[in-house]
Amino acid sequence: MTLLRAPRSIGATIAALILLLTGCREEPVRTYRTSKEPLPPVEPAPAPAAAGALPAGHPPLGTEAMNMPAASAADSIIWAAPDHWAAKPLGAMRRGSFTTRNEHGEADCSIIVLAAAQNPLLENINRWRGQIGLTPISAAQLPAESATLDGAGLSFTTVDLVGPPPAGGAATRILGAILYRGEEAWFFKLTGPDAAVAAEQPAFLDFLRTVRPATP
Amino acid sequence: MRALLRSLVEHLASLRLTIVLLVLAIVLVVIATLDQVHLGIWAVQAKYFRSFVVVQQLPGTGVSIPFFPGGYLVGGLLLINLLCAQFLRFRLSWRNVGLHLTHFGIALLLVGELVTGLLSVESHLTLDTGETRNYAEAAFQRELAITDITDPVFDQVWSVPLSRLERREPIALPGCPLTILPIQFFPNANFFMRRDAPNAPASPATLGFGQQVVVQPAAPTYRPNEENAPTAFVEFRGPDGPVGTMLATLAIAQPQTFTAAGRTYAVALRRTRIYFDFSLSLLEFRHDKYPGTEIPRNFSSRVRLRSSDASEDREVRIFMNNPLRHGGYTFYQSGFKNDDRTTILQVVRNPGWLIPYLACVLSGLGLLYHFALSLFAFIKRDRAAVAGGTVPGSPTSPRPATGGAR
Repeated sequence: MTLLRAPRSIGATIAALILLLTGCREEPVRTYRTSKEPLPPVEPAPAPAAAGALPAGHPPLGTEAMNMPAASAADSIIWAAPDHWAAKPLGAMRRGSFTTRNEHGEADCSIIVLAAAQNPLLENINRWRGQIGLTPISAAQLPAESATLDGAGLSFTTVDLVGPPPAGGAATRILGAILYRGEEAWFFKLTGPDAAVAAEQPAFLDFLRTVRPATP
Repeated sequence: MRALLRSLVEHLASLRLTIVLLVLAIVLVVIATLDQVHLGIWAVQAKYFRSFVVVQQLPGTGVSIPFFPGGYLVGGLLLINLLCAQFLRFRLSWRNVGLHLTHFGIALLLVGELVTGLLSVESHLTLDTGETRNYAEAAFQRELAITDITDPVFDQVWSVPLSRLERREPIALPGCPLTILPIQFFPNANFFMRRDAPNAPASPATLGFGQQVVVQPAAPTYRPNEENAPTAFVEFRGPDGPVGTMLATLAIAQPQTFTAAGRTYAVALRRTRIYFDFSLSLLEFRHDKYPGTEIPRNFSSRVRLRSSDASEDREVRIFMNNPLRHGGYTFYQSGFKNDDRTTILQVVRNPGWLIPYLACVLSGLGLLYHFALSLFAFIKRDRAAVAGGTVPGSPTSPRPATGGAR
């Protein structure tokens, strides 16, 4: 075959080419400068600014947004916690952390944000179920085991889970709400003794209705 | 030297080489198709077709060896083979113009694929209604981004590709007093809260949320509807020694911050960002349906385009088959989510997007010319035969002149 009778120099050239192409290539570290995030949002229908209008980004007057204690400036949603809930120090993962006490005991409310792509709904509901000793459910059971709550322009999937009571103790209850917003999955969870959480259920649902986008 | 060059060109123009390369291409397609079960379509494309040499890791070792020519090498040699054959065998004459054009079109098609493979970048831009962004996120590449957020006006970003984290060697950041030492890297991982796994080993993390999270390495997934969560523990070292170790993972979107040498840094493992010199804001996303049904009729995004130097500020409507082309990027309406409040635009930068069109036009014209020439020659011969009183193709018609020469 003619190809196999090619001069040695041709073979050497091709071998060198292969070695060159398979050699170690270290991807470089890129560095660049960007404007501060987030960039200013826009209004869908920009209107001329009225005299005395508030500066851009200022929360509207007369709403609870004025004394919004919760999320950091980087968070894409904001909320207003009930007055009787006490804010707790934020852990490394929590974007919001509250505690509430009533005659039945103490309940803990946590707000966490994770990447939506890695945190599917069913998997997280089953994770909550596992935390209180309930068996996982299937995707087919999900509609019957969850509900939808429409808040301030946002839609939550909610669950009400009560675990089996331990010997001589009270059952643990989780009121959970999951919100998928863009690439973020927000988890709102109220957990504690069954009766304590049950007493806080109306407050928790009202709290969810205050959750809304940080930018209008 | 001249003889060697001529010998090389003759070998490269050989029809045997064409056949060998075509066989290699067929084998490449077969083994890539079989490996698609393990790697998925995108990884297979990168490994077998958009590479010069296919590299395979020896089982049980960390040693990788080249074991088969990749798509670029086979395609590149086919291109050289075609060009060499063209210049050696075909004479430049009006009769051959059609063949020249057709071959040039095929060569251009091969070049176009090479340009697309090497230079095109595919990414996505996700925008909530009212949101503004000046960057897209790469579809497949991930980065460890270290951002100096100290300055009130701008952020300085260092983007470390994940391939550097896999090598677990110290990484210097140009112009930054920090050095990164990757401690552990996992292509995919699951996570548990430490309080849910009290017997888990201690976390290497000394900064950020990694202290409260247990990382469980997971096998990489190649399913099209799933995404890996690459995860790393990285140690930051400043001029005065170690600053601390942090967990960075794609699964947790929020950046973590720490202070070193008087500067504040935010760390996040995220999809690689591609910044534009303009921004897009989503004014409205529309999901139109046919009246009285749930059947989608149209998806469209009304966006506001603003250049960074304020020289351009206009509204654009992007909908199916009507992309926005700006600054070398093409924005296609790709998807939506979040109850129609969020749009997903596919962003493609492909400097060679016109080449396949040009190649097809050239090949088409070449074939048209060549067939037209043959047709006219046939008609001319046919008329001459009729004028001579014989029926072309009949048993009594004379044989072509070339036949008589034998």
